[in-house]
Amino acid sequence: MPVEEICMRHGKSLDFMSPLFAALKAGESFPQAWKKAEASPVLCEEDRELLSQFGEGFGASDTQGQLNHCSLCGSLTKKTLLKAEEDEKKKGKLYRMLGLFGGAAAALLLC
Amino acid sequence: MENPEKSFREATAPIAPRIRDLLRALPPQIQTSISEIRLRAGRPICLWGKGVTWFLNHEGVTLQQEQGLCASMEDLQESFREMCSYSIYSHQEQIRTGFLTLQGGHRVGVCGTAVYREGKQTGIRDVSSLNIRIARAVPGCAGALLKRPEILEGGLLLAGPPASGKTTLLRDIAMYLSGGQNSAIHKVTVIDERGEICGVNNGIPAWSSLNCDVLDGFQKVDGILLAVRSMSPEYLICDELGGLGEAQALVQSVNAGAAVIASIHAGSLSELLHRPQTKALLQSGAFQRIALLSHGVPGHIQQLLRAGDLLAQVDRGGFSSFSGSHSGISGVEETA
Repeated sequence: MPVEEICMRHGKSLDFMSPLFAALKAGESFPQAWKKAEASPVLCEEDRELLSQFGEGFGASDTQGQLNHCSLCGSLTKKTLLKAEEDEKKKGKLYRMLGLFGGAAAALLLC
Repeated sequence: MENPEKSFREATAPIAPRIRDLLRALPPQIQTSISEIRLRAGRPICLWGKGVTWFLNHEGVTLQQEQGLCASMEDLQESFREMCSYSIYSHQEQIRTGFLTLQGGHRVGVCGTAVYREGKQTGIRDVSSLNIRIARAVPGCAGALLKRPEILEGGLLLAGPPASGKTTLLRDIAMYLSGGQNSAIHKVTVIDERGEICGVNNGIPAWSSLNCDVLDGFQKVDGILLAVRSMSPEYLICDELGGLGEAQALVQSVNAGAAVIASIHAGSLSELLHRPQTKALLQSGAFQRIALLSHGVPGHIQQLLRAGDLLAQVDRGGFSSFSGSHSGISGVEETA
């Protein structure tokens, strides 16, 4: 199955992939379309970097090479996900409190 | 008539843009003369056609190699990835055998460094050269053969060196037989293992006048047996017979009453007779005649020979030059 079909089948529901599908529909090549996905505003810098690394090797080797590439990128993504989950635990409460304070300040100003 | 400029555009579509743009800027008469485009890493880009080798540069073409534009490694990598639709893994089997087939039936030869696993060649890496052979339909190139229907009805084997027009002839024969031009419409099945005869893309042949049943990508043994069992062909057409197993499969097609028109690589009559599978093919009964092609004008038939006579020569363990001729089709003498 070519890379475009794989993306259609497994990436259709991902919001950062929408620019890729739009670019492919407009006739752009797959590498150009992938760059559009990397530039998606919903991604942070770390995610952009991961996507870029994956995109460089996606489709660029034989089956075994692709499996190795996916496995490596999967491991890197898991690491990033764990870090994000820890950050959310540590700072989540703080952000929620800031939200409360901001909302309270706005309510007080409006009274 | 198919548009030869369209063939050139198709064949050059996946080439790296800086080279593709130069190729497409060439005058139409040069574009339609080019049969092969060779890209080699760090070497001048070669264009081959009608016995002439040109070199591409920013001004057009030159006969001077040192004035040619060199293809870079990046050009080759970019072109190769585009030719594989950026999905090299899905073209693994083709790459392993050293070729890719592009939309339109154009074949790309691939050279590079072999990859072996457990003693078996599994792929190619570090692609260092790509040879794009532009497939074109030449309507009427089989005209001399088609004037005598019995030549095809008895089964015909086309033997010739590379670039002698074997595939082009097969394509023209398929169009004629299936298209009903000036004659009945026949049931033709094409076993198109490498996708070069019909250039099928998404189920549709590249040439609109091909009204055949196409078994695209099938190995010939599987394709012949499937065709005989389910397509009731009057004619079976396939390219590049090579394995001994194929001769066995051809016996089945003969038993089913289908006439076989096929091709085989052979630089000369001597080479043909010395190939181990030649005897098996002649013994299969699938071919009454063998047409020898030569370099130069694609599809030019040098000699038309009877299979029975050749088999006798093979059995005697040698061959001599054939002398004497019978009245044959215009432009070709049938020798015995």
